[in-house]
Amino acid sequence: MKKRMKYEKDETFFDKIKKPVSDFFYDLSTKLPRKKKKNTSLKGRRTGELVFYYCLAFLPILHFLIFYVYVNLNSVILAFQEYKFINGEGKFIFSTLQIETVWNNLVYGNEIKELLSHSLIFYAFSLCVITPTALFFSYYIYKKYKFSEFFRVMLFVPTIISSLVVAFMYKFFIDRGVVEICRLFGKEIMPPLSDPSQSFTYILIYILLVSFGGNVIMYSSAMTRIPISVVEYAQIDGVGPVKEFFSMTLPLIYPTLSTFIIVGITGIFTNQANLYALYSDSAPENARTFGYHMFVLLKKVSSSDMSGYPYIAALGVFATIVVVPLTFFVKWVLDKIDPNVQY
Amino acid sequence: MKFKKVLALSIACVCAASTFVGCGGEKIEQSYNEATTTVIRISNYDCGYGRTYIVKVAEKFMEAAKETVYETGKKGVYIDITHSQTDTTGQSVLNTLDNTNKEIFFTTNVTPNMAKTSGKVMDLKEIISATSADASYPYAEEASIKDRMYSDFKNYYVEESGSAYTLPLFMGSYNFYYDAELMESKKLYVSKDSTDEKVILTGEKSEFNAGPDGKTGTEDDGFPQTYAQFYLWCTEMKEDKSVTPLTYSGQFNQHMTFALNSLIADFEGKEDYKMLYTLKGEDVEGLVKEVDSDGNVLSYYDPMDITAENGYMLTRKEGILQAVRFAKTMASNHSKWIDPLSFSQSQSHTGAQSTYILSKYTNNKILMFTDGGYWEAEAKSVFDQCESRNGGKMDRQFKLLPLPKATRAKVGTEDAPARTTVGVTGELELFVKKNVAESKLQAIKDFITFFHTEENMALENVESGVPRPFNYTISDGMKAQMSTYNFSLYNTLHGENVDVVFKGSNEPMYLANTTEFNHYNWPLKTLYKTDKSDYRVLNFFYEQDRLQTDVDVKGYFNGIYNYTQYSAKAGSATNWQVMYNKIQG
Repeated sequence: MKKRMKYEKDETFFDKIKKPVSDFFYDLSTKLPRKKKKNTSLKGRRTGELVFYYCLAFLPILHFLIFYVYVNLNSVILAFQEYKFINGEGKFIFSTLQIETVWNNLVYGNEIKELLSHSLIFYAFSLCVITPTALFFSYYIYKKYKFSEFFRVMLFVPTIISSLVVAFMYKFFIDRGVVEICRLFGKEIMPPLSDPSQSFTYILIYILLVSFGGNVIMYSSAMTRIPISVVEYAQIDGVGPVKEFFSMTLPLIYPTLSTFIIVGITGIFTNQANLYALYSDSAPENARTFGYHMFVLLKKVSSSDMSGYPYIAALGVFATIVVVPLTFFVKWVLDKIDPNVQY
Repeated sequence: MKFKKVLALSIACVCAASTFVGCGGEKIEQSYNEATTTVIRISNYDCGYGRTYIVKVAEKFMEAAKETVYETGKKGVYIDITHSQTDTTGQSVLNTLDNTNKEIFFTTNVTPNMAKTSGKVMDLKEIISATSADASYPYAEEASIKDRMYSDFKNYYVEESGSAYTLPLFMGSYNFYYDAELMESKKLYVSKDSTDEKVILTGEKSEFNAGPDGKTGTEDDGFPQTYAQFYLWCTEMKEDKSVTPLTYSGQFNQHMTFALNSLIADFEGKEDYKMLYTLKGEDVEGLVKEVDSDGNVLSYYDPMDITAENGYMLTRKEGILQAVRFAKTMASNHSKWIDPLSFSQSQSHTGAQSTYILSKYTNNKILMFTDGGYWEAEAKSVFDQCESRNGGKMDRQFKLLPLPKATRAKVGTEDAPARTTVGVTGELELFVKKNVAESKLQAIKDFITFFHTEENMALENVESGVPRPFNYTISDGMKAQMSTYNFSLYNTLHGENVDVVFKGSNEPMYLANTTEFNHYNWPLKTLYKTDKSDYRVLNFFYEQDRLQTDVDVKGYFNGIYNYTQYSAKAGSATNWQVMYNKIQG
């Protein structure tokens, strides 16, 4: 009972500012001239509401149509083009050359396979290391154990600060700080981020450090929606924190967890693993991901020469062909194992 | 419910309003009356060359033309300049021409061919051909703009018919620089008694060697004449004088590759280096057939004709081999010759500039640096920070390093001093939109002509810190405003003994593949494993064991050729064939 009252009494900072803001807008709405209530029919009112919703949704839908549908459609078309420079003029013609080139590079070459393997390693790291660790910290913060607020702030700080600033600080610490520390102990080492044999490990550490923020916020928010009564019943029944986590918390936040997993799948081929922030366009070959490779290729195509675009578009089409069915498959699997627990 | 509607509407309005934030660029506050003054509108791509050079020339023109009547009822001219980085380069700026009120564009990545084929850019033929004999061009000089343009640039920017759609603004280059003050204080000059086996350092001018050009009394006296002397010089300065020879950006280590291109240019000479971009040559000699593991030439190909189809054979040029050998030697001795931060990702390009400039105040003094020609302007904040201790831009003595020659045979003599060849790119260009208002046309022509007077080109050089590819001289008064580095760059690229090669051409093969022929990919990109390539020559050799490769000079050099001949699937088009097929109908 005491705990329940504590939960209900505890107003967060957001709650404190929400009330005056809400009151302000309410006052504003009461001062607006009220239309005389017309004797409108249900259909008339419904039409009015629909007009309002369509107006509100118009801009986002237009944005979606232009910047998602049109752009991606254009990319697919571009993948089936070849750049020709005839009589002093460059133009695109229909061709399957770039698709064939990507296929040949994939089947007979090693570069694309390595890029894919790096992308999958980063994803597996994210799934098997970052996600469980984020869940652990989220649960810790949710249970308000010791220093939970401190962890909440410190884990979120890298997300608040500009990613380039964080990358800069990390690079300086690792490539100069660690080198100096080793030198103090009499050991000369190559700057780790610049050492191809070690850079991969340090990149993984960096990803671990910067990935917490978003994950912890989402998971801990999902956990706080768990009704207190359910938790108290469990505590009354003598359920310990570990069992509570696996038997109650995880199943109850499963929708959030599965959403993250599915979104992670869609990002396998676009994930740059923060390589551009760390290395600009000279990341070590043994760490490059598919997404990074595409980005760097695109950046290096000079704006006076569009001939490089079809190949990059073809890489994108290939990635789409792989990731779309994979995403649906993973969603199907996750739906199958969904405990379907409701509050 | 009503409250939620109001809140939702308010948030939607804020979101919609935020889309207008990105509009427009930075404009100078309007201080003119368009009803009484002719207004010329300029769009400037605001980049590392700054904006002062345009602003100052524009002010001069406004003053010069203040009594001129270009449009009926109006007197004088106002130049309205918008500085921006959005949609102001490449195809993006050409796409905006139909809907913009700007008339003149200072931009980048707009090739003459792009400008011409867009159909929206004015032909500047008349303007660049005008001389002072033409009364309709009051600001034209005795020699036309076209005649004052460097020949190599003219071949690219001006068609045979005399038409030109863009004009080059500056010359871009990557070089090696040195600190002349450090040379003096540590007496690092090479004595005339030095050989390719032993280098003696001196500080006495009378003891300086003749330098790479082989002629005494020139700017390069006291510098290593050959690569062999250069290596010994680096060792001597490090071991005897505790001076670190070289630093560069570890994060942008491709700058070293770009600078190595200057060694290729200097070895090959003007015509042979130009061939790398024209892909045309008859009875071309000196293409290396076989080398040993150390990069010594064992045999050459018979003279052959080079065309676009077999242009990949140019990767066998000996200058490329020599540059690779140079990089390998530098990498092998990196612990003595190169500052460790040059191999650290934590050293950005500005960090490297800072390391180099501030090394004067540390125990780790560094003599040489590699970066683009714009580096001094880019390091402005570091120079400003050193002003208080007489270390500002005008106080320091940075200069371009006279490049050593690859072999003793290339070093000049007193009677026949060796020439220096420098490869440059065109950095920024200007063009004029087609179909400008007829009433303003003369004003625009006058401005372009005025912009290209000798005096104003000198001013643009001084203000931007980078030379223009035209013949002009800088007065003593203006020289006093230039830093030592700025003047050294001008002196080098305008030197009598220097051949400047524009790294580009109007050949279809080049125009269809400008990405493949940029300095990332050409001509130092190698295939070192099945389908792994790299272009960071020096850092590649440095990272050898980490990359688990054992590539020597021969392997790297052959890999450059192999890269052009690579195809993932046997029988499918090679990289070069893919490039060549773009110009096949």
